[in-house]
This record gives sequence, structure tokens and C-alpha cells, in this order.
Amino acid sequence: MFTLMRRTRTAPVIVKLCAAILLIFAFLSVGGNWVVPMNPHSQDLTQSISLPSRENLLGTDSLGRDILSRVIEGTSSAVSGPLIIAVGSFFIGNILGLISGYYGGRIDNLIMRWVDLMWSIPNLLVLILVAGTTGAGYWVSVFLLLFLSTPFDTRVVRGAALEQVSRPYVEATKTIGLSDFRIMLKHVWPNVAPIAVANAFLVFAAALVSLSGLSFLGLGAPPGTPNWGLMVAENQGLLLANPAATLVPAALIALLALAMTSVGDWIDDALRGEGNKS
Amino acid sequence: MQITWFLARRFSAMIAVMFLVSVGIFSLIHLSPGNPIDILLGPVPRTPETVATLNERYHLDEPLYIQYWIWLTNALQGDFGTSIRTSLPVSQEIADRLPTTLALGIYAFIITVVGGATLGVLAGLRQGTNIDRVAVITAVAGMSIPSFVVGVLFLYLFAIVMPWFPTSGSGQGFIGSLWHLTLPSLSLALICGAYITRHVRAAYGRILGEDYLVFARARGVPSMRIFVTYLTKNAMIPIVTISGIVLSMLITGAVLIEVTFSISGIGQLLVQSARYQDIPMLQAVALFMATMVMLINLTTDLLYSFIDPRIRLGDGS
Amino acid sequence: MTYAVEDGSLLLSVKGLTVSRRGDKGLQSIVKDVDLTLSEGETIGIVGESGSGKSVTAQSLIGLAPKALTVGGNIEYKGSNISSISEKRIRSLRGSDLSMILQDPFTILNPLMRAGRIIVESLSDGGKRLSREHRRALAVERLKEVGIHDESVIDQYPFQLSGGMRQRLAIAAALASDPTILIADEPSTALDVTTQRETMSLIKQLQVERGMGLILITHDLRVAFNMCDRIYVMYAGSVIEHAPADQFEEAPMHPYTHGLLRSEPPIARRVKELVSVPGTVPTPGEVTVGCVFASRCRWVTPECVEISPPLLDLGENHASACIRISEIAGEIRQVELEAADAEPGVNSERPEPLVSVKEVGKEFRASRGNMKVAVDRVDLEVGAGECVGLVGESGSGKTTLARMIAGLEEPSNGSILIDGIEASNWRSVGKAARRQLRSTLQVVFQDPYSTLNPQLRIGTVLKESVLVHNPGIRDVRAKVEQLLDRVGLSSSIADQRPSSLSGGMRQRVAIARALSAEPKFLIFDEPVSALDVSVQAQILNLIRNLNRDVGVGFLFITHDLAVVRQVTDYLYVMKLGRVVEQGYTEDVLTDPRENYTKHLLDSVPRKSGWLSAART
Repeated sequence: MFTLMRRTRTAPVIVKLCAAILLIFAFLSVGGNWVVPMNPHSQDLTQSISLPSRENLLGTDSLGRDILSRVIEGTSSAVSGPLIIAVGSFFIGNILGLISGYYGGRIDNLIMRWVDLMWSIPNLLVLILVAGTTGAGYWVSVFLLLFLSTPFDTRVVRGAALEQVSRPYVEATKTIGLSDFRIMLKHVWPNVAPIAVANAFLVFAAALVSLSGLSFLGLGAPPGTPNWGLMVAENQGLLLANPAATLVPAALIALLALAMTSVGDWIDDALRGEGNKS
Repeated sequence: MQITWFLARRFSAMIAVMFLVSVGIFSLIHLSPGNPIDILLGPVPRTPETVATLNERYHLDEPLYIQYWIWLTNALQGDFGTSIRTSLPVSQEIADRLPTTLALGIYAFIITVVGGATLGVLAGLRQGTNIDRVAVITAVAGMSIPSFVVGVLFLYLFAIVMPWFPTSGSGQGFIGSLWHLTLPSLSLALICGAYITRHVRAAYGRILGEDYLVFARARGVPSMRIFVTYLTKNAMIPIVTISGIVLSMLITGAVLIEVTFSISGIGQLLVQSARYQDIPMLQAVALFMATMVMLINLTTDLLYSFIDPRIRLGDGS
Repeated sequence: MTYAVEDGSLLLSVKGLTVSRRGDKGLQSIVKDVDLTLSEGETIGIVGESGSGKSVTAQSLIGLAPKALTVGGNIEYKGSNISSISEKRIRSLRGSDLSMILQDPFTILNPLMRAGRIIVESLSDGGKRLSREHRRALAVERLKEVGIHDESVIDQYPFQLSGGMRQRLAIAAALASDPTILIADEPSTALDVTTQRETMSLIKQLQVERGMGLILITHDLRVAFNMCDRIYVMYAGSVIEHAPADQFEEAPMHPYTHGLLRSEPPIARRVKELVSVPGTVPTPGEVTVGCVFASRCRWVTPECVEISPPLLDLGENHASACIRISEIAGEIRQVELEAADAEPGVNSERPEPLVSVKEVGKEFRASRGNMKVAVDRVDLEVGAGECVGLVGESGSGKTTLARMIAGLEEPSNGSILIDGIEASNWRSVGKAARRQLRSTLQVVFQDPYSTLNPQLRIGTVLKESVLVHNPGIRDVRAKVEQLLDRVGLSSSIADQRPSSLSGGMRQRVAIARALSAEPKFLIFDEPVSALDVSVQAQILNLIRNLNRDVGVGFLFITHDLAVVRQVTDYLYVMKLGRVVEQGYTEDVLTDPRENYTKHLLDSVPRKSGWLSAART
């Protein structure tokens, strides 16, 4: 991580910009309540479907709710689900991937077969099916998606670990007599970490896309909640009357996902070479 | 010899996975909260007669594995029961909507492959140039932005601000349908094309640095031949492996795009049924899509082994 | 500098070839001001170690230098300048006028193309105008020319062929359009010794038959002596000496060439002290003014650092880039004589065995349930403090055997006894015994570039392994310094990461790490094969000293007979999983009993007669 800090200075402008965007989103998701100009839930039918104005900077929706406030309020729900998924699958994926790559053999076979099976399943379809049949809520989908995302982390970490394990330095630590646990944690993982961290950013972006897609389809966040995906769907009919009501939440989803991917890609590029340089 | 062995293994693996998937899909009806009979009845009033009809159809009083067997044999014959939402036969509904979805998928696939691959090849051959930078940015954008966001944006720009395309509906005749499907296909293709671009670019870039390419140039093999038999043929291996994922993305993306553009295809049907908890319909659509995904994966494996002699003839490693 | 052309007409003339790369610190030159000539039917050698710029020079001649590099200077082919012509025109020259073969036969062939097509597509018109049968016949004929008489090869894919076969196929493809000049970039380096000699003599034979000009790029002076008429020696991007091959052998006229020649361990005898060139090669752009070799030269004067030495003509086509050569030539020759001191090999009773391998075998699961025998009922012993060698070509099972002794692989059958502990299955021996085994036996691996964790500082690596074997130790730092000192490194290295160390230094660290367990026995798995010759001897001397001073016994695994002669007393020769010959190193290498050992010995490059023997 030290090298990451050192590299930050030389990062391209666009990556710095993306990092700044991520910081803003992080702030809004925590402190959104303090900066919302209006109550995002209060309806005012006299003010319904208004274009952006002084009072409502982004206009209102069909129930007269302030779009700007709803968009800000929606940040925390947009961030929290993907964050749980990215962090959770990071942990599970790293553990499984390390074990799989380090020990190889039968346990690797087992884990990889599971990964291959999960790999071919389109996540969104599973989410739709489960939401459709069980009527389960948003958080069930989040945890389901967490489970569905782990194979992605597992495969990436396992590949990277496998590459490290075949290098003599790992064998050297074995012949010195270090325990497997110590070798995995102290020697293999630090060399895998950059790839794993970068991957977590990609998982976040993918989870954001899936979850907001689910809400967009009306199968995620319950009706009425200020969720970006849901807002895009609810206000799509207002595209003519107040385009901002749809386009702004849509753009925010895109922006957050884009920033996450760019920063993740950059971390990958910047640090992947680091460990392998001779 | 080895190829048949390889294929037999792949095929049996697919059958096994399909079995698991079908069990999962079948059990949906028992996983959903509430009594299966109530769910299947839907809005139909519960009378001894209606319950008896259902029992006769689904054998709900039999053990689960028998229920599964009956369900599966019916499903294999294309009989998924009647939709709760529309009271029409499920297979009928799917058959009606299939052409639209297929048209959308094929249209988008063509744009994806032609556009995405061309950009990827150009960028891969000229890494570090402007076209490469454009390709990289497009790829990152296309990969991270959800298709429905692109769809909504396209709708706004090309159907409302500049009313070149219709906002919804399916159009009359071939040209009309094509016209109506253009925006949806483009939105869908942008997402999948980005993925293709990224991988094609990486594959070409990597092969450009291979020794065998340098050696081919050193002995004067014509550049067109190098492009076809060295670059493209070798690049096909990684590209074919990801094409399965791209097609899966296409299927998922189609669900979102059909809803965005109100296209009455399979994807929209899936979402409508999910909102309505129309279990028989959901089961049928899910099984249909799962089969599609599996067939795509099998085809990818076939192609893969066809291209790479190391798989076909068996390498030591 | 130009030379009179003795016979034949001038094919290629290179003047002031410069290759540079735009790096972090501006333009770095990788190749500086190189002049070359090549006549019809002549073979020239470009000899240099890694970082000398020899491969980039070769690539530049044929217009194939990596795009990131800028090539300057003047290249004339048959009197017309080809350095500034378009890519399209130089492409038309490739194959039919200039052709090249590359180092690694495992990566230079299109994996998706059958052998026959690889040859046919290399014909000047791609074989388009020929009928199917004609093309096939032509491919068969071309394969015969490179010594492949099995016709079925033309239908095979590269991955189905051995390394030597692939290189032959590559040669056939490179020569398909009958070029006038062939550039061979380390064509045999990736091959086994016996295959190396066959490949080299094939290239030589083809060159003579066709009267081609041949440019051989190699790191091995002995190979160059056998192949070439004239030799250019490159160091850090410059040609520092140039002479006819026979003159080189007698009197090298540059301190570097001299050092390089003397670093080559002799195959015929064991010498008292192996000579190495101290220090390491400067990185590109590091030396901008002065002699590039100055930092490693024992005859260096302040003047050497100030003046960039030109290539001085010494007469008889000999040129050297040393400004002091006339003063020191006599001294160089004197050193030459001193170094020849031979040391008799040990021939005494073998000590009590510390490691005893009995009937050990190892099978691997190859494709589809077939078992492949890697090691087949091998017996081997290493005594306390004994230096034992294990030689064999790739596929002989020598590394697998070593890995089984080190507990990294489990034998399929047989027993391994280490210091009284049955160690054929390390997992079942119990914790205490395993600990004892680890402190008895340590391993040094082949590749110095990946033997150290890139993330950790050298001090951390050593500290960790000291603590594992000595948990109660009070002053870890002192112990680490002591270890570094023992392998000849300064303690300041402890704060550095592997990436800032040279290959030789990394290998020293790896040895220090192994020594931290204070083992009685070390396994060296090809410890010097990835290092340049001028550095090799540093490590070999260190290994010899460790045995002499500390009494550590070792098993030294290598493919290099000359190296094994310098460091071991007893020798095992392995072939296809079995030990085919064993005995005192001195005896085995002076008077081998087995044909295979004789064949191996004959294949080692030596000063003369190397190639002629291969043809019989």
C-alpha cells in the first residue's frame, strides 16, 4: 500500500478525478442527511412534475418530491449494498482463492468446479427469479449477490496465488520451515493483494450495476424509496416533462460505476507490475 | 480420439449442470412463501374442483421426486402449464415473444462483434495511439455503465431531443421492426461490445509481442498472412473463451433493455412474471434461458477445441 | 573502422549503429556506435553477456528492433543502404536476403500451424503457385536438409515435437527462401548440451554448403571459436574488441575479454581458484563517458574514466577499445599463465552417509491416466561434508530427485534417510523430526530472480528464517549481518529489496538464507545456470569456500559438466530417470565408462574440434 501512495502522484488526471468523485460519493452516503435541501419523502402534489427551478434544483417527480434531495438520499443505499458485497466477497474470495491456489490438488479441484458452475450463471437472472418467486426484499438480494460474486474474487485470487506459489521463493520459505498459514499470509498474499484489491473495485461496480438494475425492474428496493435504479424506472415516463428526474439518477449510477472501474483498473496496472519486477 | 473424449466430458458435465439447474427451478414453487396450491391458483377462487384439477396437473400430493419427474417430462415436451397472470399456456406465450427477442439479440450481436472487434483489433495493433486511447475509454465506460442507463440516455437523446427513432413499440414489417429495434440493439451492443473490445485489444497486443510473430517477420512472411494466420488465429483462442460470457451478458442485458424500451420479448415476460409471482411462467422462462446459456457454453468449448490443436490432440500439460 | 575484405565480396556493412530507448532519465543508449562487416560465406560472431546489447544489434540489422527503440546509423546490404528504407521494402528483403532464427524453440513457432505449412509459408511466394503434392514434397525435402527424415513430422504441430526438432524446423523455415545472410540469435542456448552441439554443427554445415553469410549471436566464447571466422565482443552496448577467432584464443586484447575467457570453468581439469570478473554490468545509460568496463577493470586508471576509448587498430585485423592495451598486454598474458594451475581432485574414501537414498522412484500422472516415470529406482548417497554432483539433461529426473530429498515432493516408492530420520514422507514424520530435518538440510534454487519475495527487504527475509530456526536468539541483527558477511555481502544490503540487486547478489542472499538454519547439508539446484559467466565463478568460489570453511556437505545439481568438475568430489550421472554412472568426479570425467557420459563430455563446447566430432 505504501507504493500505492507513492504512485498516486503520478496517476493520470482522469484517475485522480475519479478518486475525487469517489470521495464525494463517500461523503454523500454518510452525510447525505445533512446536505439534503428538502425532505426527500415529502410529497407536494401542487408542485408535481416541475422542471428544475430555484426551489427544486432538479425539479420534482409526479408526486412533487424534490429530485435533488431524493438523489442525495439515495447515495447511501446505492453505496451500501455494493460495499457489503465487495468487502464480503473480497474476504471469502481471498480465503478460498488462497487456499485453492496454495494447496492445489483435490481442494483446488473442488473449489474451482464450484467456481466454474457459478461462473456460467447470469447473476441478474438468479436475482430476478428469487425476487420473483419468494418476493424477497432488497437485502436478500444483496446477500444473494454477495454469494454470487465470490467466485469472481476466488478465481482472480487463485490465479494470482498459483502464479506466486510456482515461484522458488515460496518453495524456499517451505524448506526454511515456515508454517503454511504464515507462508500464505506473509509471503503469498502481499503479492496477490494488489490484484485482489483492484478486483474488489470491479466487483463493487458490477454489484452496483446489478442491484440498480434489479431496482429498475421493480424487483429490488421497495416502491417509494429513494433508490437510483428505482427512480430511473419510476420517472422514465417523465422523460419529456422533467428529464432530470430520470437522467440524473441514471448518470449517477454510471458515474459511480465508472469511477470505481477506473480506479480499480489503475490500481491493477500500477501495482501488478510492482511485485513481478526483477 | 482425444477430441471425442473431451467432448463427451463436456457434454456430460453440461447434462449434470442442467439437472441441478432444473431441480433448482422446479423447487422455486416450493421455496416461495405460501401454499403451492394458492400460488398456482392465483386469482382463481379455491374450490374442491379447481384444487383437484391442479393436483391432477401437478401431482402436488405425490412425493417431491415424483413431482419433479412429472414436471420435467412435461417440460421436456414443452408443456409448462398455464400462466397465472394471463391464463394462457406458458409455451404459447414464450413462442409468441421469442422472435422479437431473437431479433433483438441477433441485431445487437452483429453490432457487438463488428463494432467491438474492429475497435479492439485497431487498438490492439496500435497500442498507445489515439485510437487506442479512445478504445480503452469506451471499453471502460461500456463495461461499467448499466445497459438500462445507456438505454434511457439513448431514448432521451435520439427519440426525444432528436426524434429520429421511436420511443417504444415494435413497428410494422421488416424495416419497421428493424427501425424500432435499432436503439435497443445499440444500447445492448455498447455494453457487450466494450467487453469484446477490451479482450480483443489485450489478445492482439499480447500476440504482437510473441516470439513466433517476430520470427515470422524475420523470415519474410507477408504481413497480411501474419495478420490472419498468426495474429487473428491465435487471438481467437482467448476471444472464443470470453464469447460465452458476452452472450450471457447479452441475455441479461436484453432483459433490462426490453423493459426500458417496452419491447414485448422474453425478457419483459420474465420481469412481468416475476412482479406477478407467476411461477409456471417464471420456471419456463428460467429453464429456457438456462438452456440457452448452457448451449452457448458448450458451443464455445467446441469452437475452442476446434481452433486449438493442443486441446484437440492433447498436450502433456 | 573498416577492414580489407579478404575473400568474397562485402555483403553487409554496418557503421555507427546506435540503438536508444526513451526512459525516465532521457535517452538511454542500449547500443552505441557499433561497426560490423560481413562477407560472402563468412561467419562472424557477436559475443556478449546479458545487457551487452547483442540481441538488439541483431534485431536492428533486419529492421525488427522493438518499436519503443530508436535505431540510428548506417546499414548497407550489398552496397545499398537499408537502414532508412521503408518497412515495406525491408520486408521484401527478409527471408530471401536476410533471415533470422531466434533463441527459444518453444516460443518461436506458431502453435496453431503444422510443420509443413510453417516451411511452405516461408517460401518467397508462400508456395501459392505450387500444387498440393508439390508443396508437400518440398516441405519433406526441406526437412531432410535439416536432418529430419521422418516425413510424418510435416503433419505435426510444434507442441508435438521436441526442443531440438523445433529448432531444426525453425532453421528449415528460416532458410526456405535461401537467404544470403542468416542471423542466428543464441540458437542453441535453450537446448540441452548434446542437442546444442547437433544444432550448431547443422547451422555450420548449412552455412558452408550454401555459402551464406552467418552472424552468430552468443554468450559463449567457446561456441563462437568453433563457429566463427571473426568475433566481435560486446559489453554494455559497445564493441570492445574485434579479431579473427584464432587470434582471440591465443591473445585476447581487452581486460574484459580476458576476464570472460578466464571465467569459463575448464572441463579438462579442476582449478585451484576460479576466476571471476568482480562487480556487475552497468545499466544502459549509466556510463555516458569513459570506458564502460572501467568499474570492473583491475588495470583502471583515472584516464580510463575520462576518455571514451575508440576501437584501436592493433594490426592483423585485431582491434581493441582499451587505451592502455599496449602497456598491459604483457601483464594480461602473465595472468593467463598463473590461472592454469590445476588442483588434483579428491579421491579418498567416501565419508559416512548423511543422506541416503534407496530405490527411490517417482511417477507422475501424465495425460489421461498414463503414468510417467520421472525417477526410476535411484540409489544415491551424500556423506557428511561431502561435495556430490548430480548431472543430467532436461528430463533426466535430477531436479525431481532433489525435490524429493528436500521434502517438496513425495517419492512413489523407496526410502530416503536423512541424518538417521526416515524422510520419504515429510508429512508423516512428526513436528520435531521435521524441524530437525529442516535444520539439517536446506535448498538453494535455480532462478535468482524469483527466489526472493519481491515485497520483502533482504533483512526481513533473513531475519524471518533466523527466527524460525532459532526462536530464542537475542541479537537477530548481528546474526543477519554475520550471514551476509559469510556470503560476501555488505550489511547495508539488508535494507534493500531484491529488485535493486543483481542476479549474483540475489543468489548470495539465497545462500545466506539457506545458511541461517546452520544446515549440515545443502542442495544446490542449478545455482549458477541463470547467471552470466563472469559472475558464475563468484558463486562457485563461495560454494567451495563454504565447504572448506564450514564443512557443509552438498548435492550440486547441474547440466554443466565443467561446473560440476570445479565443485564436486563425487558424481552421479542421470539419464531418463536412472543413474547411469557414478564415481569420483575426477575419474568419471577423465575416463568415463558409460557411452552416455562420453557423449555428454564430447558435447561440452571446447576450444577446437567440437563441431567436427558431432558430424560423425
